[in-house]
Amino acid sequence: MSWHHKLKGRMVVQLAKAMPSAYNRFTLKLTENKKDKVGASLDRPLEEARVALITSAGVHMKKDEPFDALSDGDYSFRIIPADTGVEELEVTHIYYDTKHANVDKTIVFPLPQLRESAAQGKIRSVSDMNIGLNGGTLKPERHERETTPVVVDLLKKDNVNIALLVPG
Amino acid sequence: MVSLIPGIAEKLNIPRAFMSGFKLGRPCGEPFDFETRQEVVHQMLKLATEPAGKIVHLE
Repeated sequence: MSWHHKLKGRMVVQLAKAMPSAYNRFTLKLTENKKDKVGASLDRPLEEARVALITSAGVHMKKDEPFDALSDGDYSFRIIPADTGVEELEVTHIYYDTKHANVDKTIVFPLPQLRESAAQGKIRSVSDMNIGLNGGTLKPERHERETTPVVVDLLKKDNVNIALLVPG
Repeated sequence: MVSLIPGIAEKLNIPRAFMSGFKLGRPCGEPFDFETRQEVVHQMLKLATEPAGKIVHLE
């Protein structure tokens, strides 16, 4: 049923572009009200922190399998090492206009700027476990139940202290 | 995390949200505006040092 997903994707992109307020209200209405509060705090100076970048904008390496955007949801993830060049990246997503991200991947995945922060000594290092996800789904349960624990485990094993999340 | 839609961070109880003020598909600024991109990363890192529950806007 890929035509169905293509059509839905085009409608969502057009709604976001033509009526951003309506799109925001629509998204907010469908967002689940979470009761639990996450109170984790940084346990060291920023200069000693190892930092990972996570994006839900469908970023992955060109050599990796693209996300299955034309489906009811792709709950897999891709690992993007710290030294990856932007020319090695690709964007696969149908629920936002990827026109800008396709010409400059850093717009949704500012990995070079995070590396620059490390080079300037603002942080200790950039993780090799930077994560690309495909957030284009109205059913986040599988991302929460299946994807998140695996990603969190990888970040912990890589001694990550801060995870920066960027949407599409 | 960068958040683009007002109200989402509060509803999801996101511990630290950075409202970048940019449009959907361009959460960290316009293409090839690397100065803004660096500032977004800087602001996110600064926010990471703050207590949970904070929502800030691009300075």
